[in-house]
Amino acid sequence: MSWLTRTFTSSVGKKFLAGLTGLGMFLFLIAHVSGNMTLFMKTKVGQDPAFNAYAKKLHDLPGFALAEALILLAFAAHVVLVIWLSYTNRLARGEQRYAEVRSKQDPQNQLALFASKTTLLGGVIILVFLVVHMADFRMARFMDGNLITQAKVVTALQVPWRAFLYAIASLLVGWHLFHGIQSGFRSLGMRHPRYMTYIQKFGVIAAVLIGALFASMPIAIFVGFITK
Amino acid sequence: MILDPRTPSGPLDQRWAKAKEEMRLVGPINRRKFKVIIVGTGLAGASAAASLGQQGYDVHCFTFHDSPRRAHSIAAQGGINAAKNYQNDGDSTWRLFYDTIKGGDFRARESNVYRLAQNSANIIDQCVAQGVPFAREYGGTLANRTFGGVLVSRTFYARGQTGQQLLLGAYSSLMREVHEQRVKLYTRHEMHDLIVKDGVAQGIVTRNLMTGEVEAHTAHAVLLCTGGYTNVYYLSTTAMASNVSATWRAYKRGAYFGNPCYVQIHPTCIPVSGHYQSKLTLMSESLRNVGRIWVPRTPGDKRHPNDIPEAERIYFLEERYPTYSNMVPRDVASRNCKEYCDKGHGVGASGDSVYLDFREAIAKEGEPTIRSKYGNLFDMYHKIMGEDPYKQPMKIYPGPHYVMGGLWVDYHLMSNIPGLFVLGEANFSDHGANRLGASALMQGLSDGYFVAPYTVSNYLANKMNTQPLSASDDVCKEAIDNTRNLIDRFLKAKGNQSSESFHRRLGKILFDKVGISRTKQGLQEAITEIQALREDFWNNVRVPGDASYVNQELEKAGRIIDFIEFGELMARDALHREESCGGHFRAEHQIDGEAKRDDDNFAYAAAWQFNGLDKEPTVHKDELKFESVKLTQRSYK
Amino acid sequence: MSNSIKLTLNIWRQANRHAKGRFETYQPKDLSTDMSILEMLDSLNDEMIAAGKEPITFEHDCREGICGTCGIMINGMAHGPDRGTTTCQLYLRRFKDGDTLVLEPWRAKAFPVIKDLLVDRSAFDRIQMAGGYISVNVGNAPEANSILIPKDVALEAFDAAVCIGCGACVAACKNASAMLFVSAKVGHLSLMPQGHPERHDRALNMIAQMDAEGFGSCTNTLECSAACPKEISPKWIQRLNGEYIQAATVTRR
Repeated sequence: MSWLTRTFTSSVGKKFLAGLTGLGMFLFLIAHVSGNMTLFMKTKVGQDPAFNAYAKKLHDLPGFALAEALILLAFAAHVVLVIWLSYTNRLARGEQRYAEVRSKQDPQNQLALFASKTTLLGGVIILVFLVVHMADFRMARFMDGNLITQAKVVTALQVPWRAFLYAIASLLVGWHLFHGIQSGFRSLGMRHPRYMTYIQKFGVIAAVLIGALFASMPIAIFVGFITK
Repeated sequence: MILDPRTPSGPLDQRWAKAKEEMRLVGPINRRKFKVIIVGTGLAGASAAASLGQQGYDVHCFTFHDSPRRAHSIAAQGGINAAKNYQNDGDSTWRLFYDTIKGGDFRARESNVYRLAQNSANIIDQCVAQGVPFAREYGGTLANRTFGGVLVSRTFYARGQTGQQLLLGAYSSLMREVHEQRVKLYTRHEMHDLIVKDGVAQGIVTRNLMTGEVEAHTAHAVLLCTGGYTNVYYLSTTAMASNVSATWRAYKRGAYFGNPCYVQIHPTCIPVSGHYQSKLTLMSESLRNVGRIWVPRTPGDKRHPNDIPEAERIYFLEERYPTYSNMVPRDVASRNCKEYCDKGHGVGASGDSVYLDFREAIAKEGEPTIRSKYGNLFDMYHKIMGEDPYKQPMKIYPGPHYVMGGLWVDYHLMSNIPGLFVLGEANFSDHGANRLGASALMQGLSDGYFVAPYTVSNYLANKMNTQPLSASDDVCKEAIDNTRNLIDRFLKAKGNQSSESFHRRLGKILFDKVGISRTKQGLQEAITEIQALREDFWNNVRVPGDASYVNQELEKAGRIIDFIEFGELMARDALHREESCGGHFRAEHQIDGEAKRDDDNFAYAAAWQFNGLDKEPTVHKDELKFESVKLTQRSYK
Repeated sequence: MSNSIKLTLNIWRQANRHAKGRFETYQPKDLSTDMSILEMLDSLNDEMIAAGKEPITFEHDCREGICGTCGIMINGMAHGPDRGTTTCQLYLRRFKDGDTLVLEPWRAKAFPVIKDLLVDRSAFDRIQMAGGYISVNVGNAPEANSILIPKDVALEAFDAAVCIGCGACVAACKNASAMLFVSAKVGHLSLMPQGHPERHDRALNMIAQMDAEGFGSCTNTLECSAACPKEISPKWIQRLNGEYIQAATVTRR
């Protein structure tokens, strides 16, 4: 076995890659949510919405296709690794499960504990959501080659079930990051207690922010704050 | 039979060097041809296995635990002595030697003790190289503290877990050898018998505790590193499974048992809370560095300790021994505690405890300092007693802790049966009648790292071109049958009491009559009572289950019947030794409350020979010659 | 003060490795609040022996929290409800009269149950064998004070070295991961200068063995550290992650 396969098929190597890809997607989400915030900008009469201009600029960036491919790759790797790890983790307990399990962690850690235990579940739901999300906004470009516009976004999210789904999924992304960010840093070997405290705080703030901002869009559209 | 201790002659400080030079060697290419069995994986066993494995011998190492790292050396708290003189306070090899021989009340061999002191410095080097995280000073050098019975700081420590760290060091060395396939490790295998043919030890019989399989393992030499028998008292600071079985069964095969009555009762244990209690917990001697021992001046004073004013307390060790005060050796401290409790000054529910008070130290050094040095001990006490020792004094109580007695060995650590070596606490050799604190770890590692590798090689060199005994030899079959018969006898017993209940009863007899203070009458009673207990055991014990799988009751029964048989020998030895020395205090022989030795008649180690269970054993005398030290009345005043 | 207490025990009974286990209910007599959990089991076993029943098999030895032999899942918590405590150090005064206790063995594929509450933890020894040592032969050691180790480094290494190898981390982890154990071993040795020469191989080999034994991986839930009787910090796991990646990328092999 070469060092590469040996390293990245080991549990720690897999965790490292899962953390790395996860944090990569965290960066992507920051960009994604920041760009989408243009939806909130007031459109002057007779002008294209800022969102449309942003979309155009973004897609015209050199290497955009490559970036998109990389994100897809990271995403796929993240999903495969996590499923692989989760499968072995499940096997590791053995056939007989505990009759009773309770946590010994301090009460103030219980939220983090709950987040860590439900990160996988959140991830799976997000995965399902992404199928809808891609079908809504990404597949169109394959079909007609036209870029997404504010009008399309607003039309789509005015449908109640979709607005609801997007809002919930946005919060789940936040929830996933709530544990994911600090866990990713831990898996990368970040260890100094002093920095770890900052990372933990940063992770929580970033997770809440990203979840809330993403969720704000379908809600704003649904209540008519953002229009075509 | 005349015992030959094989002590070298010449100046004391050159004896070990000379002996090593005279020892025969086995060449590296031949070492693999020699099979060596090591029983036990504590400090002595693990270090011997690692050392002999590194040299290239075919080492087979047995432990009845699930892992070598569980051996009870792990529980040693305070530290390990070494004559490094890092503190520039006048320490030297000679002084460590002298303190140890005096601490042992002049009942150990000069040559052995001097060798121990010489090896002590190398042990620290070896352990540091293995990565043992000893306490350090800010500059990065090693730190020291003081232990009982000495006036220098020569004890190296790793918080209150020195034994753990040293054992993990030895264990890691052992596991490296197992990985390199130079040592074969047998976990969950208990030794049941010694195989002796033509007067030479040639192997052991083991029972696989998982499968129940009884097998013979043969070898060119057998090393017993099976620890001490303190657990004979049932309530002791040793682990629940610690036992005398390996050495006792070797004794029954002809090995002599040395000084079985030399037992160390440690003054600072956590008191007993009820009849169900299974174990005593030690509070390290190092606590006496900062704690002051006292009792209320008025007998029966039931006030809360914090409410008893200074003037109404007796700091009896400080008053009686101004030079060493609270740091007198363990036997002296225990005896004084008992004396004050017997006079009615004792505290606690049953009035058998004294206070160990940290108020002054906490006021002077601050709680954080005390916490950093002794935190784990304080926490342990808090958990067990439900009282906070930072807020009120600890209650402490003397409890059996260590045994100086063990199988008789010569200077080469070989018993009177050629090929049978005995290392560590299992032998009788280096501590005389009392062991000083932080010396047990030193002895176990000295034996395993620095003595046995030479002396075992020397023995094996004479066995060139011989094969280990065939496992199908008649003596192996006989030994296996012997083990199987005993197991059958347990399983067929028709009583309804657990073997542990007999152990409790034995412990009570021994603690009362062969404990801190002993009398002729008490010892005679003890012998009769133990004999009756043995009969009662066979009539009333029940060992449920069968021998074909894990059966903890069967394991216990074997260890307990050995303790019962052995307890009688302890009492006999104590009865025969008509003097007081170290931990052996005969009430008839005292001078101002201190032990009164009889050097004219008892300056020897008693080595007992087995003649059958219902026959009296024969005592052989290994005369102790003192050429370098002058025998004095041991004084710590 | 000592008080009597009544408890109902649901204890896992399993005849051997392959047998199907089940819970059985017991109501031991004469319990006192000053008894430890293990003394309670001793007393129950005495009762059972007198009644001609098969006593409960459980492992224990030093009964002072250092040997790492004991370990029972008590009400779903490794070593019971208290932090920094081994099973043998848990006293009945911790429970209320009339409580029910569920006693289960450690459960992990790598720790198969042998009998009742007794499990096979030899996987830890094999991990240790894979690299948990410093290769120094007896006689090779330099003078102890020639290796200077800053006090805080020695103290930090000690914090990892206190691991007693009980397996509570594995038992408590939702993934039955042994990362806290392995990281404590690797951390202790790699922090000490003596352990530097082998640090890369050590991290690689011990992790490889850990994976081969069938332990799970770490998802940073931190339950291991909360269950650890020696309260070993999860930072060691992070350290091991870093150590491993560093070893994998720079090792000369």
